[in-house]
Amino acid sequence: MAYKTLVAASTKPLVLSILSHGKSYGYQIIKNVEQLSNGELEWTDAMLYPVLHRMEKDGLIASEWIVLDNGRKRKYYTITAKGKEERDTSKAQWNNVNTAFNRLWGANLTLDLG
Amino acid sequence: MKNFDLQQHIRQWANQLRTEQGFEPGDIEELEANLWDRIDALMEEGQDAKSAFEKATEKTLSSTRELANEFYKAKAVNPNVKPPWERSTSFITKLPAHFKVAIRHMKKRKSYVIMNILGLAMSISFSLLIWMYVETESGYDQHYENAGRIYRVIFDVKHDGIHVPQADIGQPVGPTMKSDFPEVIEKTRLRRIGATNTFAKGDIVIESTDFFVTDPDFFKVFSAEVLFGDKETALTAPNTVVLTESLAMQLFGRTDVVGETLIYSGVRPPMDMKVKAVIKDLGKKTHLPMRALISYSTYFDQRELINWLRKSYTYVLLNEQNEVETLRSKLPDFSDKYLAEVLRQRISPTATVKLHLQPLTEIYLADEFLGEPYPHGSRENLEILSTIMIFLLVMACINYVNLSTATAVERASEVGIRKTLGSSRGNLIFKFLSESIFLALIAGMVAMLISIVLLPYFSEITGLEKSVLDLFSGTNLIIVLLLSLTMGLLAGLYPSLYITRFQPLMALKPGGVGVGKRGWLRKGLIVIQYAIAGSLMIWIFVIGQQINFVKERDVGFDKSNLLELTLPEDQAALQSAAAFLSELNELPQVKGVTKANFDLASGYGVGSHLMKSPKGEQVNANLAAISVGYGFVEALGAQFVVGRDFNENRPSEKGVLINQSAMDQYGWSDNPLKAKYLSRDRQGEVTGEWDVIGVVSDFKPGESYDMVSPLIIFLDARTTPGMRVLVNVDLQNPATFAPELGKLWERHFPDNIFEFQVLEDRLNRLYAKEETFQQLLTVLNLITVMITILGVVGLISFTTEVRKKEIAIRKISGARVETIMTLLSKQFLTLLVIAFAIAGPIGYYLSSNWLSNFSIHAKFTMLPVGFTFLICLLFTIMAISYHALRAANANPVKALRYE
Repeated sequence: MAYKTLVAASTKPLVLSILSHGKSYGYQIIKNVEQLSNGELEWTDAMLYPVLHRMEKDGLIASEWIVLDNGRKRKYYTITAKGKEERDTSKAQWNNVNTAFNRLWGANLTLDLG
Repeated sequence: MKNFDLQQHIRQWANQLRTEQGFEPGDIEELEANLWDRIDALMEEGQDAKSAFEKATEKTLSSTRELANEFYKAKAVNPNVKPPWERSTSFITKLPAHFKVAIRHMKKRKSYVIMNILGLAMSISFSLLIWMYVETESGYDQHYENAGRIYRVIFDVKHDGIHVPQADIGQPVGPTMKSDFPEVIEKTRLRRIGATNTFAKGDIVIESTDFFVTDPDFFKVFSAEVLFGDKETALTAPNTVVLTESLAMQLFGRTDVVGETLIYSGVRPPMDMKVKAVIKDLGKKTHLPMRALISYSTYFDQRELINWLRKSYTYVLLNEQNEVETLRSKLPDFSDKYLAEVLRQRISPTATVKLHLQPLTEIYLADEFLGEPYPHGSRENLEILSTIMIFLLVMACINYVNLSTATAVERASEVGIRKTLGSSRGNLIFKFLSESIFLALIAGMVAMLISIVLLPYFSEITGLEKSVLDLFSGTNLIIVLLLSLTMGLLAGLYPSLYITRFQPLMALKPGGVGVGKRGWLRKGLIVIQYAIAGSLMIWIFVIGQQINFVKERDVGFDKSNLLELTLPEDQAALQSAAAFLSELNELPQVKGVTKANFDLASGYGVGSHLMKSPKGEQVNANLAAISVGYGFVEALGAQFVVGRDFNENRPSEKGVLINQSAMDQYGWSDNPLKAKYLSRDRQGEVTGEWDVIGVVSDFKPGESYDMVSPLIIFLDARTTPGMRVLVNVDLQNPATFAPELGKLWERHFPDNIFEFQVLEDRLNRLYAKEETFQQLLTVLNLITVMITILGVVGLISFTTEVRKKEIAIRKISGARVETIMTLLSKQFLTLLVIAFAIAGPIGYYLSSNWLSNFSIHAKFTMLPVGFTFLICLLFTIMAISYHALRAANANPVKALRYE
């Protein structure tokens, strides 16, 4: 299990990034994240759905109900233009963090510790 | 294995979510869709429906509540605030919400709320003022260290049918008690000297009536903080004095004045006094507010100190065990041993004497005995005020109950909805209680404002010396707070129990709750209010009657024609007094002029005089004695029943006058002029016989409600400084004679300012106490009437509301406005009549109780009851006519529109 605050911080960028690949729904998103993280990130419904609603309220994503062939309904989410902007911003931030870590943990690094 | 109904389980699961608050439409459907996805996925993996469902739900839900909370947070404006269902449910946290609802309700019903708040506020305000008064008047003398063990010895003498308890007692009583009884460990004696005394230091002269002579043991009984000097020796030597701090500051401007001298003058010629000590002021709350203590030896020599008839205020301090009962049981033997014989010899052979011990702390509110140094407070007034205070509080509570149960119908739907939404009755009771408490708290604040406005008037009426700042003392604020809370609680209890009783279904149906259509409780309460207000009003009316009665009563002398002058204080000016008086007597408007040391505005004490009846028997007669100048009877406008006045041309004549009461009481009417007065010397030996030369018709000085006492009148032709001169002026308005009188005065006493008084004005001032009491009662009664009227207004507006449709139908069927008015007013008039059936007897009881304080008083008639009834009737009609008229004139269509 990943650290709680890390999960909280990463949820929004993850959702936005997944939705950049096309529209999706709650359970699918949970599954995607699970696969992408090799099972390390296991999101609960209680965590994801409120976040989805919050993001929708903030205008980052939009939703629509779609009736399936078996008659059941499912709520699909798509990313909005504002969501894309948000995604790009957070992508840059996470990349910065990522680069920093990669360098730190790289093979031959000499740090000037004064 | 039974078939697992997946659909049904999922439905159940979704329903469980629906019991939670915090989900919005669509949320649960989405979660349901999500569950289906999970189950589908699990079943694809080969699981059966049941285990798939269990596994899927296990994943979804930690708990439904947590899920709901997360959803709430996602939508909340401020995600850090707890969702409402997670907040504390304790009543304190709910209060603001309840208050908010209360304010909303108040806004809708402004007039009710104002009536309620005013009712509560007025009663709280008056209770506060009365409390301040009671507090000021009680708890006297408790600041002395051994207050509980200090007693004053009272002298209770009975002789010849008179009973005169006296505040002071023979000089040797204190010391003898101390030496005879082990229970008495200390004693002290005090006397007040003369009328006005002065202390002078240089140019500063302080005149006061509050200087006392006391023996050296004063400080052994009364704890007083000595600032300078030694209290052991302070009062031993003659011509020494102990000053209070404030007096020392006034005289010297400082307090370390031990050893200084000042000049003292009073009943004796001016003398030097040495200051031996300075003590802290004895405080306002003492029945002996002394400002200076003069040593006993300055005034009394040894001979006087062993005289059992020379009086002093005597206080004893009892031992640690405070064995007052033991001491009391020994007192009869004590008075037999020391006092009985002396009194039989010197006062009357029939004299009996008792000694009483009066606890120090009770003196101030006790009855006044003869010779009290200062007037006392009135326990009776305190009791009456406290009773009225409780009445007021009860009435305000009744008012609240009345008004809030009357508006209960309006709250019925609120109760219905709240109950439907799951409020318990307990919750609702609490909600309504907090509303009434909220209202009472506002009333408390309003009460403080009202008190600020009323304090000056109240102080004027009661003599309470308090400023607005005193009003805001901590204790007072706490009292108001507690009073508000208690009233809110008491007043709100019944209405909240009543309102919350409604069944939700009935409450929500229009017209479902015919709350209190009969309303016996409300009517009963109104009757109580009317009865309280009515009986007080009857009493006030009777007081007014009595005051008029005593003012207009024939007192046997021309009180309205008498002008009163005071002769100058200096001897030199007095030389022209005789000329002034004779010139005055010659003016045509003047019927008579006389001098007297005696004041017609005060009563006189009773003494014992040895007389000889016309038949020659010796009689110990109880007669009041006064000394007057020539022409007294004529100047007064009294008549001679037989005989004549003192003769100015025969100054050596030995004669006395008696009044008619004296003649009648001793049965001398056959031949009164043969009665004699026997003069005695200090040892009680008869020294001479004086003729009764005239019998005067009865006249009553002082309060006119006392019986005329038998009287003996001596001649005192001397002219002394400051003597009174009475001028009987034969004019409708004697005051118009003043300019002429003034001119004459100017001529004879050019250095003295001319001042005069009409005797009647001064006599009327004797009833100030009664008038004050009447004023106070009137104010309080006004409040009770107002509260009652508020209640009536509440009830009428409720009645018209409830009977709106009935009135409309009656109007459609042709009823006239008057008919409807009568219909609505009738019940109130019935209530008023019932109330007066109660108020009449209570008012009678209160009034006759009060009247019994006066030996002569007006008769109790039905007039006050009738008059009071009319006033209440008038008020009631005024109160109900607005609402009744509005209801009677309302358009019936409006009332019936919803049928």
